[in-house]
Parts: sequence; C-alpha cells; structure tokens
Amino acid sequence: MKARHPVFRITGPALRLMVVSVVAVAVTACSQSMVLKPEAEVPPPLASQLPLHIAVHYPEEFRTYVYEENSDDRQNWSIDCGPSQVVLFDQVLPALFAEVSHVNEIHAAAGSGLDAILVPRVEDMQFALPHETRTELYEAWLRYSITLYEPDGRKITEFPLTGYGKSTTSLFSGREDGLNSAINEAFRDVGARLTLGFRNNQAVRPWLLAKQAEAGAGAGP
Amino acid sequence: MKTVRTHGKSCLMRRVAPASGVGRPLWPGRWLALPTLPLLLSACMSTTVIDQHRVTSSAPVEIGDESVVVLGRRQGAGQETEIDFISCVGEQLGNSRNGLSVIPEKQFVDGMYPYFEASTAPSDVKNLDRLVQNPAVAEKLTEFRVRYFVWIDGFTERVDERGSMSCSIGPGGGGCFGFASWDDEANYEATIWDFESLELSAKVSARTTGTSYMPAVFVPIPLLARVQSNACRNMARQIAQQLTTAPG
Repeated sequence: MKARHPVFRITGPALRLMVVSVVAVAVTACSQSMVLKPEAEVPPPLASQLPLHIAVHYPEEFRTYVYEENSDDRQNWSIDCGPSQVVLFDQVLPALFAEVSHVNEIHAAAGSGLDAILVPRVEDMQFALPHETRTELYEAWLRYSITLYEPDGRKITEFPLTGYGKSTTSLFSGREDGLNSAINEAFRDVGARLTLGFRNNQAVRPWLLAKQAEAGAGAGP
Repeated sequence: MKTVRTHGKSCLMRRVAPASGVGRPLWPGRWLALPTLPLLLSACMSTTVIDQHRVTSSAPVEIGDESVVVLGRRQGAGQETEIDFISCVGEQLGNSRNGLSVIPEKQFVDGMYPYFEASTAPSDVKNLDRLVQNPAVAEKLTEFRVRYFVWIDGFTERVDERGSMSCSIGPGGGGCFGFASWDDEANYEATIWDFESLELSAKVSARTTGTSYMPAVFVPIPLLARVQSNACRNMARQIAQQLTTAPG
C-alpha cells in the first residue's frame, strides 16, 4: 500500500507573490537608507561641582534635531539625535554645577537666583561608513556651540564643543549598530570635553573668575 | 629582555559531516585522505612570539586584596584594539588558575568617566600620577582596589588572501568548489603600570601569525587558524606571570 503524503503545489499567482516578496526583501536589504535613533549611554561624570546655579535652555531645534541626508550614496538618511542630546547634557551638567534647572526661554524671571543660562546648539554633524573611508571604522563627529547668557538675556560668551567617536566593523552586526556605537562614543566624548574643559575654557575663564570675586566680596565683612 | 617562542596548535576544524561509525563500509578514498589530513591540520597552525620586559621590580598582586584592570588603547586614528580581545585577556587573567581579580573594562571606564575615555585617558604613568591628585579620582580608584593597569594596544588583521571558490545553486541542488586560504596576523603590546609605585612595571608583546584554509568539494570545510585567541591566551599567560611572581 502506498503511503499518502500531503502534496504542496506552488501555483502561478503564489509563485509570483513569492518572487516579488524575495525581490522586495533583497532590495530593502541592499538599500542605502538609514533610520537611526541613537541613545546616549553616558555615565554620571566624576567631577567637583562649581558653586553656581545654572539654568539650561534647550531650543526646540536642539530637542528635535534630526540629521537628514538624501544623496546618491546616502538615500533617506535620518538620524534622530535630539532626545539623546538632551539626555547627554542632563547627565553632565548636574555634575559640573551645584544647581541646575531648566528654563523655557533665555530671559529668566527677575530674582531667580541664577548665575547664568546655558544654551547648547547643534553646529554640525558628520558620519562616515567603512566603505566610504576604506577603513574598518564607523565614525561620528559632533559639533555644538555653547552660549552662556546673563539671567536678563545678555550674552556672556560662546564656545565650541566637539566630540568624536568610532567603532570597528563586526562580522555579525549591521551598519546601524556600527554607526549607533560610534555616535554613542561621540556623545561620551562631548560629555568628557565639557566636564574636563569648562573650567579652563578661554572664553569662560574670565567670567568664572569674576563670579569667584563676586562671591568672595559677598562673603566679606 | 626575555623572549619566549611558542608554537600553538590552533587549527579549528568544523565538522560538517558525521564521522563513519562502526560497521559502516569504509570509504575507498581514505588512503588518500589519511596523508592529507595531517598536512591540512599542521598547515593551519599559528605561531606566537612573545617578548616580555620587566622594567621595575614590582611586588606581585596580593590575591583577594588587589585588582587588575585591562584596558584597550583607542587613541590612534586607525584601527583600534578590539573590545573582545580585551575581554579575552581579562577573562584569561581572572580564570581560576591565575585567581586574579580583574575589573571588566566597561565597568571601570564607566565608573571613572570621563577620565579614561579614548581622548582623555592618561597616556603614560606620569599622567596617572597627575590624575590621582584629583580627590574624586583617587577615591574611586581606591574603591576599585586597582593595583595594576594593563594597557593593550594592537589589533588582528588579514594580511593576505589566495585562491578562489565558487558556489552555485540550481534546481537539483547546490555546492561549492575551489580552495581559498588567508593569512592573519595579530600584533599586540601590553604595558603594565604599577599604581602603588606609579611606575611602568613591565611590557609584554605578542605577535601571532597563522594561515587558514578552506577547501570545498560540494561543502566548504573551514580549517581556521585561531590567531586572535592564541595571541590572547599567550599574552595573558605572560601578563599573569609578570603580575603574580616576584622578580627573580
């Protein structure tokens, strides 16, 4: 007696659907598009706090910053860095200043007790993939400008803040993972430079000395 | 300076077909395969050359009281030291035979943030001396109970590729034919700092080379020279010796 086995036949429409699906998957896999939302994994810095009350203002374009590019080599690139940048500064600034608060505008209310308002802005972002640089590295460069304002809105000073991150290619991880890792390294670098460089920054130092003198005079007889 | 040369038998052969069992008819081509197999196995060995140099006569680590941290140097613009190589050396140092307490790299770098980032890490032991003047840093290092810093610089790269292989698939099945081989080279240097005396304690370098082969008759059979893992194992052995034995 012959055993009966179920028979599966791929008919014409089903076969066409299968071919179309396989082609669609292959095209998607080879596409140059890149949609990322990197996360800033920045630990709390080890730093001694400056005895200052600083308010931070994140402009709308900073909070929602998305790097976009659409060229022949980089089709539909969208790297959403806004939320991670806020996380980065919210992690680093409280380690640097005795008191940190948030304000929605540069002009703070009178008598707020603030020493300054700090406003970060994105100046530039650049990314590189291994095949573009003929290396085995994913790379990210971030450039911000940091502006300090008096509580009444007068500008005190402005200085640039940069960060660089790289990660190596791995056999089993995709380019999204590689670039995410490089961007996270760049965020860490920005945090490190801000923490270690703020006190000795040429643009900030005169203001810090003036604040120290002011505090010394206030504490005097 | 002492040079130790080791030749590791490091061929990793992936089994792709079941071995013949008892009672199975013997394959007539075995007489051809038997002399070929040792040739292939010996061909994909790797060779490691270790150079070690003790600079100062640092005391050995007090097991249980002091820790070691293994860190990768990632300051250069080019290829960086692989994270998995650093973890491998750390794991080898911390295994039951050595008994060393090893702090994982990420845990240490996160705990010391931002002083051990690629752009801010101390480049020599004198800078470490300056760094510990910062009370917050000194306190954290004491908390970690760090006695030795092991900085590793280097990477593994493919230096040559030969041969070719083609694979095809059709309605009746598929298969690969050809022969490919490649040479890998691992070059690493470990610099050991003694945190107690704030001096350079020793240097250990490892250079491992190996050739891997992939013959394919229907099925590719990778015969891999485990270059990076051999470099890791040999380097860790020498570092452990430096850290656990008193200078003679």
